[in-house]
Amino acid sequence: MKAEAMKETGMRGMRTNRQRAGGVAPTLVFTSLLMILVASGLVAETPAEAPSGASAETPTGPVATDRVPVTGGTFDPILLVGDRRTTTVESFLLNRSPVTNGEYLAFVRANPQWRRSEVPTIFAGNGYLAHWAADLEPGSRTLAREDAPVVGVSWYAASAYCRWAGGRLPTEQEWEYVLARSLPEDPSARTTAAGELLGFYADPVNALVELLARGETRQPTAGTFVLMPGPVVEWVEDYQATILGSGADPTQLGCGVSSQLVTGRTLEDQAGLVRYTRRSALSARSATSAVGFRCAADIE
Amino acid sequence: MARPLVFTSLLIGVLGLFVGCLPGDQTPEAGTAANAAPGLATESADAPPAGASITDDYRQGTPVIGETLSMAPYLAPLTHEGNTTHDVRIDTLAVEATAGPGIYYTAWTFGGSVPGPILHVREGDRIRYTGTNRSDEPIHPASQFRNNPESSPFARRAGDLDPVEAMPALAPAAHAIDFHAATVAPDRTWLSWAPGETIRLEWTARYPGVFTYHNSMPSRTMNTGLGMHGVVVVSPREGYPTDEEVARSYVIVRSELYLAEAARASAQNDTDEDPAGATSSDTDENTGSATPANTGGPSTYRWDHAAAMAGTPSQVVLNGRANLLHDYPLVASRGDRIRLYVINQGPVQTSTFHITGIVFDRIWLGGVPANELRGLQSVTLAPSESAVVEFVVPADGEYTLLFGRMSDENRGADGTLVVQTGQS
Repeated sequence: MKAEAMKETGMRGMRTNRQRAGGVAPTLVFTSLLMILVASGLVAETPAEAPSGASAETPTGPVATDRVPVTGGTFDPILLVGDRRTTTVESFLLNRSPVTNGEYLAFVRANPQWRRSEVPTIFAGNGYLAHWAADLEPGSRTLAREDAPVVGVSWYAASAYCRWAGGRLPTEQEWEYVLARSLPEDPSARTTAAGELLGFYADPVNALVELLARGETRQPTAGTFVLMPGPVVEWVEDYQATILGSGADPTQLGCGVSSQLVTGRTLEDQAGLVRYTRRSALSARSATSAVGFRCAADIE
Repeated sequence: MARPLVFTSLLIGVLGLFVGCLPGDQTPEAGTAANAAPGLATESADAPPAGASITDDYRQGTPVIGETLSMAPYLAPLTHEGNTTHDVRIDTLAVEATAGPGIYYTAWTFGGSVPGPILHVREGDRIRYTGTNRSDEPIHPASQFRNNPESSPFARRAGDLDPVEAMPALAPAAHAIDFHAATVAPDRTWLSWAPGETIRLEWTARYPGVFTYHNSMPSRTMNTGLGMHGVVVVSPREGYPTDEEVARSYVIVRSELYLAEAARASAQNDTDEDPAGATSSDTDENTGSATPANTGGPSTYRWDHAAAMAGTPSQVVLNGRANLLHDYPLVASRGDRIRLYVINQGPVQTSTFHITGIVFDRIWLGGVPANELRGLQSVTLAPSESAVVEFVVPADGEYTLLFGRMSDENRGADGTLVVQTGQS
């Protein structure tokens, strides 16, 4: 990889260097992040091997095994891929629901190093499980409800959970593919849903609380997947795929620059632009109350 | 997972290449007088390196620090001679704000207010800005301002200035800032920073005028419509010709809101007053995190992007809230020369400013002394455009401040100037 290409942290660099799954730059960054995780003993190298210092039990019970097969295909992601718009996603498995507080509790019970008072701050920022009452006690707040999607978890934590549960995080393209197929097909309904999604992004915590109060986080209201679309930004394996370097940020979309990246002008495109930039502006240790995750797995 | 050592070494090598690209390592901007247009501010040859730095050193405390920051409609006075460097902190945070009577929404803010703080500097001053993204932290701004002596002097008076206090809210998102008064490399300076991170950047006020600052993250329309905008007033180096005659100055910020009532069902019955931990149970006066009086429930109104794209606002407001300048009018004394620093923050509409019963004696477009007009009944401003206008109030009475589009009627884009002889 040339030094000049790596230095292209401006817009031009992002467009020409942005790769789909299998791209060199993002894969390198994420592999190295995973190396850090593995080296620290926080994540097993293989799902079957327990992290050092934790019990060796593999997850049962509350961990979601409700994985839905997603048939691969082509779709048009919101952002351009170089000069290409259409991309292909292979078949894979995706959790029907985001990981819940109850499921995450099982994880931290089995893995003390991921408890709030134990986790190193380089793996989880200030907001890690901030709304839980204690290490092993989610507590009574709405966002800490057993069946509510867990939020306030970092990318490191989400990755560790998915590996412990025998899977992985979905890739950005896999996740966006499922979202695109979860919106209504009828154009008018699709526009309304996209408008609602933008309202969610403006006020994500209140929106999540409302959905929880209305019971809309247990069953999908439409389509196959719960909270897809939803107010919570979900971690993906390559969430920074739109960023090449640290510091200078190629997604620094100042006034008017976004037209370089998004060809469409629909509300769905605009919701996507907000989602992409919000997701890729996070750091791997970010743990905010509007970010959660669900796990994926390869089809054996 | 094969060959971890190779990957690690490659990573170190790759990171080494990045070091050369990080902001702060660039060659310092060394402007010369020869590059400057005649009559305008020149770059200083000793300007520090350009670019912003982003760190993870999270800090709590007051979100607004700086001696020359104030809340609209007030403008902080400049007490220094010549030029100085201003150290300014304006954190970014969400609050539950009111757009008008009974209309509450989750606002995105600079410093906890809509509009954000007004920064007053002089042409040639340097500004060192620090901002922590606290959009995932519940903050009650008025408590912070009242209890924390570090706060800007005007912020400490927030209880007087803004009787409807903003309540804490959470709306975690990465933010960015763009000061239109600054001339910088935007891809190195106007960077985004995630919740919990802090940005530091510097710029020089090379041009006089009234400039917006805003959040440049997508969607710009949404950020601005949700309240994330503010003003920098750069007073001219030599002042305006009428400085000695001006009795009072005020800042007026016009902006639009695009809100629709959010679906509310059993959420209203949720007995959990604090669903996300949005209010602190810590009543420590020193930290300013006392639990506010009404925690209420979820916000009742939410951003309507379709309306924003169509340019049909639900409210058009002056200084952040419908009827604010009617409920708390500007005041003057008969015969006063009044100066208004006026800006239209949009985000969508162009609008025309007029005051009933008044002809503007002097108008400086953009607030630039060289752009002087005389004797206009109105000034038309597109989004981000501004003007400094002056007029003399002829008689006791009530004058209506209007940003007029007929379609704005009854949406709040007006205010009152009350004139009484001997008004103090």
